[in-house]
Amino acid sequence: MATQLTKEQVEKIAELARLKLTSDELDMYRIQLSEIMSFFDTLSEVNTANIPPTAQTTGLVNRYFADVARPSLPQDRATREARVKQGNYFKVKAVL
Amino acid sequence: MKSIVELTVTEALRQLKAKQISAVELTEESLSAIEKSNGKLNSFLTVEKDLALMMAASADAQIASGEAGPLCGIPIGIKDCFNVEDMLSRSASHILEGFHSPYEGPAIERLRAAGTVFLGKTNTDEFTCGASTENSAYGTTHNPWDLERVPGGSSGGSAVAVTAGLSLFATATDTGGSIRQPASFCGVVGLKNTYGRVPRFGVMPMASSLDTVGAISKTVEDMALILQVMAGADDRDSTTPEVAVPDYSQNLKAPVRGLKIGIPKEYFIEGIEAGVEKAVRQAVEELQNQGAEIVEISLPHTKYAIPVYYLVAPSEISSNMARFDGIRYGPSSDTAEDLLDYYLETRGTGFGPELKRRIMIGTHVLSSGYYDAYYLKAQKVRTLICRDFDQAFGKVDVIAAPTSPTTAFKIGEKEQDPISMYLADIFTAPINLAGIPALNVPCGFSRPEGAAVDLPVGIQFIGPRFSEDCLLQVGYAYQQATDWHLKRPVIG
Repeated sequence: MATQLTKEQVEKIAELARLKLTSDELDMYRIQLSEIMSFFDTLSEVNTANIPPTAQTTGLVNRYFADVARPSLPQDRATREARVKQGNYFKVKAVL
Repeated sequence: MKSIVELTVTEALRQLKAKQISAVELTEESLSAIEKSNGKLNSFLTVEKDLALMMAASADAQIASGEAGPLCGIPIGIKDCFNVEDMLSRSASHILEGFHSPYEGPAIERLRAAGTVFLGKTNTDEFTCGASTENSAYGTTHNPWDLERVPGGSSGGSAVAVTAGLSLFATATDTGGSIRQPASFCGVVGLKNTYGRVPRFGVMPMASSLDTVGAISKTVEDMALILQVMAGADDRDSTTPEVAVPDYSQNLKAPVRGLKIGIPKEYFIEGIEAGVEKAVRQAVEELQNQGAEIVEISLPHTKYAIPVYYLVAPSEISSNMARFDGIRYGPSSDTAEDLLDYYLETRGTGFGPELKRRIMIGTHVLSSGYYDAYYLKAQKVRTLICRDFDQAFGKVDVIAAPTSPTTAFKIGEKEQDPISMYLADIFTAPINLAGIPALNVPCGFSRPEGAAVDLPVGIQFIGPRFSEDCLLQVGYAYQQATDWHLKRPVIG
């Protein structure tokens, strides 16, 4: 079963991904993403009933360290790469 | 002194210790090799000449005082996805244009403490997403064996730096084959470590459940020295288990007699380049001659690894790339009127075509209504791929297989067809999904149709989790009996 994404679907995905696309890019990605999504259909032939998902391969569950204050990146270094700043703070356009 | 193109880390350390050469001289040689060849190769994106000479002078002082670290005075290339404090670190992306990292992580700290000299940053596919280095925002890297071919990727810049003698070794990362495949295409040694063996903190993430940190070197003997320095848990990476780090060099010389080596039939499929299969089978024969027992095995879910990988990796990429919003670092939109526009424009212009493709695949398959059918399904098949390997390692100690189905392909050949590029990872991605280690070792040459010269072939030795010592032992035994790793290209 081949997947055919519509232009509207690709626009929606791009907006969710916070990517502004040109109309040429939209056309290209509509075709390519449809092909790639169809490529995944082969997984439907694998029986995965009662198979748990894997996200961690070494069996490690947690790693703990002592709950003590440690030096962290000083504020001026943490903010120095930002283009728009006010003092040692990041400056962001109004959210609301 | 041997030419820098042939010089190994092991030999350089011996000469440094014997005062036959200084770290400054070694660094000057590397810098002049870069000056001579980098224009053709585009292996290094940035060269830190002043810093390198300063670090080399300090290495010489340490050697003179008898307090030298284990890799003191060795000039290295650093893949651009590693943060190095105060050094331009862009992961070959426009979205980090001008970014001088304010920090670095354990991998770089350990190499610094060991006395290595930082020459600069090597090229990669943008945020390590690719199998050819063509996805770099700063131009592709060229394979020194044939400048019209790709060096593989994503660690193409690092593989070329080592092959062409621009650095004695180079750091690299492997998420789906990014250390082994370029090492194979360039004829050098590349070790993809067990997930968590080397801390990831300070290395820019691609897919966090698959990313591993390692290196590319000329010989297996060198790799044992490098891993000794880089391996070990760190509190800043909560996925590094407290597994003891063995003495990798001490273990190296044990014979392979009696070792069981599995040959998976799914890695010798139709479509594999004839010269690749021949070279790999000959390498297996060599190990058999040394007394290893060869066992046919099956890894039945191998053919599902690429679809699983290209669901899991892009999902994690789309999450990891969310941090690039133009607010805390990198260029940003000057024209946006509101915050949403600011994000859309910054990211729309900052990321290259492959990154956008992967971010969108990930965003789509993680979005409401698709998660179970795609991401969860892929994670379940991932379990079956892990079980394939676990079962195989019940019967054999090591698995041997081709690293890549082909030798280096031509620049531009796969550019218009993302799926054919994704299939370049077919023999490497399953290993990342299982979190196990694999070592690429050069094992001969092949001349595919249309090629003007013979191109390197690589074999990978795959082992259970934290079996790097055993893989290095097999690789070392192979390199003692063969000289493929000594062949060097003449750069045209």
